[in-house]
Amino acid sequence: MTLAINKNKIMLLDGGMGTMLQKHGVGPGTVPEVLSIEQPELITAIHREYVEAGADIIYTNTFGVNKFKMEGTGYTAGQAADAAVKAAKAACGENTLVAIDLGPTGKLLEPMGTLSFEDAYSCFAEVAAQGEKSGADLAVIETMTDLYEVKAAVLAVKEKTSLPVIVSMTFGEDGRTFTGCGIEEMTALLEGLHADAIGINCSLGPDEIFPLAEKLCAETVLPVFIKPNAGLPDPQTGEYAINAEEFSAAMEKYIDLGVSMIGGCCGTSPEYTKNMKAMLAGKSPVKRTAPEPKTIVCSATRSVTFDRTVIIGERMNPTGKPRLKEAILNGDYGYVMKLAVLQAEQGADILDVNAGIPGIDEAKVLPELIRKIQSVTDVPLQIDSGNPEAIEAALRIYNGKAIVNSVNGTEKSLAAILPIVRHYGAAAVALTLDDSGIPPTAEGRFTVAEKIVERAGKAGIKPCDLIADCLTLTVSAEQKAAGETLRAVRLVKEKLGLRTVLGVSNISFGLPNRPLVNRTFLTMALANGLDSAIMDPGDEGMKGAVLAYELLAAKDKNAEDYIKAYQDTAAEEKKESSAGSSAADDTGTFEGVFGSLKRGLGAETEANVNALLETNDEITVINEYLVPALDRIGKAFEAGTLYLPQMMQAAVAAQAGFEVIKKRLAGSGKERVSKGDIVVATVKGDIHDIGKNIVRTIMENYGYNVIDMGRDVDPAVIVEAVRERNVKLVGLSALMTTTLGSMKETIDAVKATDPECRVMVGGAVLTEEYAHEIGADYYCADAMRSVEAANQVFGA
Amino acid sequence: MIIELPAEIDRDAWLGRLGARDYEGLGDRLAKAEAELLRASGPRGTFTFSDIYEMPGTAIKKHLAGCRKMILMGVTLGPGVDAAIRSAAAVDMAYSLFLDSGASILIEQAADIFTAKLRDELPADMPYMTGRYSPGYGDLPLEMQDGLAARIDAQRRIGLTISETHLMIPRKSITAIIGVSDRPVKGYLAVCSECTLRDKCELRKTGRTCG
Repeated sequence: MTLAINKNKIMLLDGGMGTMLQKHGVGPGTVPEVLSIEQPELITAIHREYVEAGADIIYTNTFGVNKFKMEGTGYTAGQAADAAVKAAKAACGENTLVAIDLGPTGKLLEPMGTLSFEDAYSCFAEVAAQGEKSGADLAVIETMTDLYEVKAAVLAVKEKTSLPVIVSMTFGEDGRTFTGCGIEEMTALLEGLHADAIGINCSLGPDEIFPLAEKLCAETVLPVFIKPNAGLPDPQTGEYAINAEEFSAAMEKYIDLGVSMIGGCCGTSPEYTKNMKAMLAGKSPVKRTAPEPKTIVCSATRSVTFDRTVIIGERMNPTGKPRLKEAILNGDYGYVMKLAVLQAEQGADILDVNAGIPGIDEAKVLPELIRKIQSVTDVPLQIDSGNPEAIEAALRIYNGKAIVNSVNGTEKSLAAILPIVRHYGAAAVALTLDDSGIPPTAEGRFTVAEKIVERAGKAGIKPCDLIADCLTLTVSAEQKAAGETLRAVRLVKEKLGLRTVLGVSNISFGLPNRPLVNRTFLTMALANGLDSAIMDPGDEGMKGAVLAYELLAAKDKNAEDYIKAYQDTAAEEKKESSAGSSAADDTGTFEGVFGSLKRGLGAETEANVNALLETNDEITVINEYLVPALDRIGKAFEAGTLYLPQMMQAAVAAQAGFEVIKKRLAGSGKERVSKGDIVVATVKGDIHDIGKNIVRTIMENYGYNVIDMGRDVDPAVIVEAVRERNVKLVGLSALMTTTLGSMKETIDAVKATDPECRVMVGGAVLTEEYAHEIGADYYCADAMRSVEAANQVFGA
Repeated sequence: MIIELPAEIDRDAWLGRLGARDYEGLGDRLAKAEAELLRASGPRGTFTFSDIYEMPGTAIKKHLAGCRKMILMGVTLGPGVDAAIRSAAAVDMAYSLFLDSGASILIEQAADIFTAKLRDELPADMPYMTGRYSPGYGDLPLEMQDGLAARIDAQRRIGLTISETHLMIPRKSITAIIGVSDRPVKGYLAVCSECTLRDKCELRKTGRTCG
């Protein structure tokens, strides 16, 4: 159902509930939502005042109704929602709509907080479904700061009810919410999810919100609504600064912006509604000019518009990358997270994520990868899979508007992928091949693109949300193919108005000096209208080609980006060459390794390892150089001549050395070096993970395969990992006295599963004595103690 | 309201937190971490005046002795700092440790700046205030966090939430209770003997105190 927004009338939303409750003597410490059940006549009376003042839509008294906030009140969220809708309906005549109000859960979602997306979803679903059942006309999601929570709430309303849904978020004057979400991200997500209206409420007064509303109106095609506070509150008295007349006068200028609905938030009362009603008399809505359609994707805090060349990082694709493949198969998501952060640092605008390894449960692994990656970077993601189940699972928990890579012209793909893309409001790569394969000519590929646009349109997907991939074929196999690809890019761009993408480096397979061919092809493609390239963002030559192209095509205004990227090049080169000449000459010796670790220099450690590998095998380098050098650092730490920061820097430098070896082993198909699998986690209820992370880093350096389960980990999840991989040592961390109970519970669960499995524990509030009391086998006062414990367990 | 951060993170406190005694090999990394923390922070604070209500434990009663009102306050560096620490942990755990420890010092500094400003807000008839006292400290249970955050409307005002185990998210945040009086008051710092951590405290094991 869509909301029947009256095109001839600006609709009036109600005002503050909290303010009115205070006026009726409800003090702090009372849960206002309980009043819908215990004093429904009071709630109805307040609603009635708004209705009589002229409100067209009233919000139910359910802002804080969810299972968390209702805990301890003696009522369920369902009861409170039911009573609230009934109390609202009792105040309304036929012409006033009742909106079931969904406020934030009060808990922060992962990765910021501990609430899972699914739990947030079920919170909202419960209240929205009850709201509809009890007779609400629409749903309003309001005062949101986290885009992820918005997504959970909108999906809950859309999937569990047939109510129209309007959504407003709350911003600071900098145009960002507390969690860093901006107007662009909110708009990209909500247009994709087909919200009925989009708005801003709370936090600020009408004057402060105005510039944000201007931006929102220019950005979105959706109807806009605004519900400001009555100015800012006085901290001593709690009184708001703007009275009803001033408020109404300030709201008048919103009419010219073309907003569809206005109302008030904190500090406003029926008097404010009455004044706005008078102000609106004789006014009709101003028609807004629709913004130009644009191709935009986003995470919760960062958006990317395809109006400049977009670099899509390709390195999280295991095809042809043995080290990445091994990492994904071993559940070593830390390696993938590192690739994500590195590519972001190298300047990738979007990251492609692919878990396509034969035999893998992609529908389980792909969303898990997305979760991990979005916990360490806010670069928007491209979900790369052909498996509809995996795509749906990944899109669902993706925090923002993603790109699906890809849909193609085959009947099977169109039927399976397009509805998912539409449902989750994603963009999609349109691959120009169909049931008869890749059309050899540009015209053939154009025809496929045209078909995908048409079918997507029927499915409710706009052309601006399709990015055509005209397919790069290997030029050494078919020399004329490059020309066809380039022509196809130009055709779909000019005739269909689509944005375009290419996986560039396919072009040079089998040729010497591939980088040269890659960047030349990239430049040619850009000149033919290519908008984005799936490539290695660490490839300076290709990045340079993009910068130079943007400069020459006059897209890089005043050559700012180009100059910024290269003005220091000359100085850097000079510096590097002088640094090179003074490099220590003990490279490739034990002292060289030890020195580079002690100084915490990763690149130098890599150089040492590479030099050693020329004359030693991998195991020798580990056992006779890296580990003894680390031991020496560890002893210095224990002796107090070297401190934790230096030890950690050494550990990180050593990781770089180990990485060289792991890559070589994975590439040569030799067995990986692991002394044993260890599960580490911060226990349920605790979110301190720095100590656990330190232990992980040190243990990895000592050759253990550490499976890091994260923080706030349920005992059942740990038990599952122990069982699945037959793990013989679990490391648990807890930093609060309040979470020691949870630690004991986890130990009991692990021991019940496998009495042979040993548990080591650490954390500031633990003592040796207490550790044993709760059943732990080892108490580890610091990271080196955990290495000793592991060496005992695994007999190393 | 937005808190103006100091230009620098207190280096001595930072080194102490890291358990290091000198800057050897750390200077540049700390400077980089400091710049990133100042950039990633969205420091905000809020407070409200409240009547004194019943709270468990003896320490808070001593802290508020002679006070007529209290200020409930909350400050946070915001989720950007948590994100920076998380992101760094994926590539460089040492750097993540620098960010984490630096942020712990920075939030203390931000809380001090915010608290100092509160003096200007005191009513004319109650111009004196105590220092800060936080839930979880001494014998004031951590559970008190929930009610305190609700009373200052922490999520709506500054984006601060409390987990089900009463921990603050964003991580680098401080809530506190300050007594307000018509005569000079000193407040009270819990002594080890009444602290719930008395048997487990790392500092106490080494003969130091947190006060």
